[in-house]
Amino acid sequence: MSEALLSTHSLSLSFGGVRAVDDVSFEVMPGEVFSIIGPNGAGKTSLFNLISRLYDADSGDIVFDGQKISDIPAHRIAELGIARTFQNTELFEHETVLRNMLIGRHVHSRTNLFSELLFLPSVARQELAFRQVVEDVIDLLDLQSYRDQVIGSLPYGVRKMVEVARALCIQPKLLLLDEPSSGLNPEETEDVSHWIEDVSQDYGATVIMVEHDMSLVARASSRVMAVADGAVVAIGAPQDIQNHPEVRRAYLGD
Amino acid sequence: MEVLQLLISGISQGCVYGLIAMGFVLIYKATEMVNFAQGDMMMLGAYLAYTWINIAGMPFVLGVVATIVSLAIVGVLIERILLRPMIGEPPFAVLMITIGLGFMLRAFAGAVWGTETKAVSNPFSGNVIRLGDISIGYENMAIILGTVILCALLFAFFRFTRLGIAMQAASQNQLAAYYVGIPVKRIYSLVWAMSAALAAVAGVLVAPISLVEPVMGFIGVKAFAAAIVGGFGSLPGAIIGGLIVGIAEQFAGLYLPPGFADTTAYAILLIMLFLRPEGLFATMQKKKV
Repeated sequence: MSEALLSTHSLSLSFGGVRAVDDVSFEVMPGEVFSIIGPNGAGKTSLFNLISRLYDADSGDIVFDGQKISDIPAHRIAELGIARTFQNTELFEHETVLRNMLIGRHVHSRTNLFSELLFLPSVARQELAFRQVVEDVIDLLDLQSYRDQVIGSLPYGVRKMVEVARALCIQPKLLLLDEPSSGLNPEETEDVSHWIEDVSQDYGATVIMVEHDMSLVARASSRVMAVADGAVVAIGAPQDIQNHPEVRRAYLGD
Repeated sequence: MEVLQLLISGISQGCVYGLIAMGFVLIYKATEMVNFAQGDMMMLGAYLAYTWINIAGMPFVLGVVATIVSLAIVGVLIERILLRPMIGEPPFAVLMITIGLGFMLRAFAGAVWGTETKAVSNPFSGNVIRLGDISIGYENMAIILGTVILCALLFAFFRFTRLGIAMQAASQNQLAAYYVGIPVKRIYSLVWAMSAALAAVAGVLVAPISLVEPVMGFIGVKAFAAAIVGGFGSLPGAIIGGLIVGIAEQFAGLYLPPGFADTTAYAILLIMLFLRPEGLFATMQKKKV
């Protein structure tokens, strides 16, 4: 069996007296599409924010690609190869789609201040290479017609795609999607499962997503982890989880 | 000819307002804090220039560099010690801190350098260029040229450099900036350093035409008005706002009864708030819910 790309070990986080994440351990293998489900307030987003280093865990470790990441700052995870999206999208609202995506290449920039001010050939070459990556992502996600539009003028569904596009421009090994279908209509949600498949197969990125839409989870994911009250209830194949008695109890009550 | 002469002194005074206004705008855009001590930072810059050049005996250019570097360090320290712990506190609390900081800087300058006025030795004073009937003092030329060069540098910095783009990103959306790999907190320190460096340049340039004294930073209030006229989120707006205030002030001084010149900045501010409250170069958007 291959080495896990991401693993957490006894991860815990409390807000005051509430244990938002309670002793959570799981492993995600390279190439997987791993979904985290659970009722509202189950701690899914807290868990997500721990992995993406927005929160500091009270105890436990997170290991990514053989490296412990539980104590590195949030701005360094991009260069390690982790990208994330947000439930309500966090974009640079006053910029175009293209510029939002180009800044995804920021961590890969290797030029210095003076060569940038003088626009030396090395800077021009880098710009071209960056643009190529961005164009490939635009093609993958069909964003051609929005390239030069400012984010503020775009419909919600497109913004969500742009955020995914920016994340892909980082060329991450691991893509964290926070409720990719929230706010989308059924048609757009259908599309989500298609591009997740593309991202996973064409880009070779491992995906971890928090998601409410069970049909999307069932279609897109290879494995599912159900959480309730901050703790892991079950991990397994989508259909097993859907029929798992403990999971049903967590959602429907006793 | 008189009009042209006034215009030139108005432009040079306006550049000083503009430089301080840009300091306001830089910090506001990046951190959404208003640094009311920006004018006093300029005052400190003038005193530091006095210290390096007149007391330590540095040549002028070296002294200017030392002033910029030392005030930038002061800026970083202010951010780290006073303002970083205030992240997440109400804007009003932050505002009070910077107002308090202004009091402290004035008291500090009075205690260290004394309250009598000082003059910074410089290569400009006393020299004049004559163009026909107009005469332009070297010190005014220095202010205008210095401002032009600084604006060009800032433009190139924000337009072309990775750091400049990272700064814009951090000011537009912190969370998004973190996840494309931008160290937002370090950027905030840098913004304070840059804004302090701007204040240092303003201090050095204004020292030859104004007296160096602890209360010289009060022109920061007029610069604040200039920043609002310009749109408060826009660096070009800050300069334009500064020029409008500076030029209007000169003409008010000549054509209106005595005393009106000093109120010009606020009169323009009032008119602006009536006619176009978002400023000339509106960048602030109404927050959508």
